Amino acid sequence: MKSYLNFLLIVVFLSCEKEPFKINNLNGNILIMGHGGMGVSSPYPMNTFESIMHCINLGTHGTEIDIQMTKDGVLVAYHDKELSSKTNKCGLVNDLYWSDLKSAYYTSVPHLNYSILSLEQLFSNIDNLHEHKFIFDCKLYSNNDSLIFYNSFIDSFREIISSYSLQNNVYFESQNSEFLIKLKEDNPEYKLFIYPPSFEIGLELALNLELFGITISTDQISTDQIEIAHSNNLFVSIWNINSKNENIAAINKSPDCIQTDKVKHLVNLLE
Amino acid sequence: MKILLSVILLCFCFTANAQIESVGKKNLLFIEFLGAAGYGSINYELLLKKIKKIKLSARIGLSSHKLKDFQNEFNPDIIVPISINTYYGNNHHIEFGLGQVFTSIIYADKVNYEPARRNNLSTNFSIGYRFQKEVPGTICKIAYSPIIQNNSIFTHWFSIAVGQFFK
Repeated sequence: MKSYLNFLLIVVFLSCEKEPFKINNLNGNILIMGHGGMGVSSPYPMNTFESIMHCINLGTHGTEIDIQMTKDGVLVAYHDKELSSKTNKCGLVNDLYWSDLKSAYYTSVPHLNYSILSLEQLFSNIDNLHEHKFIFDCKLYSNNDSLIFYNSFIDSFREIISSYSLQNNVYFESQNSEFLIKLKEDNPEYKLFIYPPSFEIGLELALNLELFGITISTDQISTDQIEIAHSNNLFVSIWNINSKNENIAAINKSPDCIQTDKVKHLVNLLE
Repeated sequence: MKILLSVILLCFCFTANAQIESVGKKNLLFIEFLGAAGYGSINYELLLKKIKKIKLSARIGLSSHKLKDFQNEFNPDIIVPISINTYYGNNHHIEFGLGQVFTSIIYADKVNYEPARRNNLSTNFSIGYRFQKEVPGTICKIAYSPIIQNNSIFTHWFSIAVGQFFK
C-alpha cells in the first residue's frame, strides 16, 4: 500500500512539472514584450509610465509602445487618433505642442488621472535602460503634408535614439511602407517591421523592401506561415494575445517576439 | 463642496421629518459591479429612515484596482465610495443616490517618477431600479451611475449590484 502511494505521489509530481516549449525561430528564444506596457485589460492605461514600468519590472524583455509626435516634434506614447477618446484634450497629438499636452490626463474610467508620457520622460527614468527592448508602433496621424511630417518624425526618432544610444534596443513597426522606406534611408541599421493587412502582403513587402520582419495579429498568421517567414530570414512579431490560452498558442507558433496583453502569465511560462 | 452640502441637507431633511417610521437596524451587504468605484466594490448599506414608501440609506464601500504598484511592491490602491440613497416603492423601487468617491491611487510622481499616492474626490450619482423586499433576503439593483471626475469631467457609467438584506 505504502509503495503504491509513493508511486502515485511520484506520478503526480512528474505530471505537475512544466513541459518546456519547443521553440524553433530565428532568435532561439522568444522576446517577451508587453503591449503598450501591461496591455489592454490592465488597470493602467496603455502607454503610460506606470503601465510600461510595471511591464518591465515583471521581467519582460521590454514593451511595444504606440508613438505619436506633437506639433513641436516631441515623441509621445499614445494610442488613439483622437485625444478626446481617452483624455481631457481634443484633436490630434500632432495639433498640440508638448507644453499643452503634458498637462493632459486620462478621463476614461477606470483609468483616471494618468498623464501622457513623452519618450524623453520614459527613457530618462528607466534604470538599466539598455537591458530593455522597445518596439515603436509609429502612429502617423497628422493633418499636415505627409512628406514634411514623416521627415520631422524621423528626425525626432534619430535625435532621441542617438541621445540615449538606443540603436540596438529599438524596433520600428508601421503600416505605412513609404514611412518605412524613409526610415531605412535615414538609417539602414534600423530594424523595421511591416504591419500588413495580411501575411501574403506582409511577406511580399518585407522581402521587396528588405525589412527586418513582419508584425501581425496572431489570428492572421499560422505556424506554417511563420516558418515561411523564417525561411526568408524575416523576424515575426505577433500581437492581439489577450488571454492565457492565447499566450500558450502563441508560443507554440514559435514567433520571434510576442506582444502580449497577459504579461505576467507569459513571463511565468517562458522564464 | 456644493454636492457634499446637498447630501448633508438631504439627510437633515429626512431626520427632521416628524412622520418618520422607526426602522430598527436594517443592513445590507452587496457587491457592485462597475459603479462608483470603477470596476466594482463591496459595500455596506444601512437603512436610516423610512417614510411610508420612501426609504433613506447610507452606503460605504471598499475597492481596489490593484494591490501592487508599478514597481511590483505591495502598495494597494484604495477606493471608498460613500453615498446617500433614497428609494421609493414596496418590493420594486426607483432609486436615486448621490455621493463622493475617495480614491487614493498610486501614480508615478511627476518629479522623480517614483510611486506616489495621490488622493482625489469624485462625485457620483445614480438613478435606477432596486428590487428589495421588506423582509430580509436577496436584493439586486441596476442603475445609470455617471462619475464626475475631479468634479469637472462627466463620464457615463453603469452599475449592477447583488446582495443580502438582513436585520
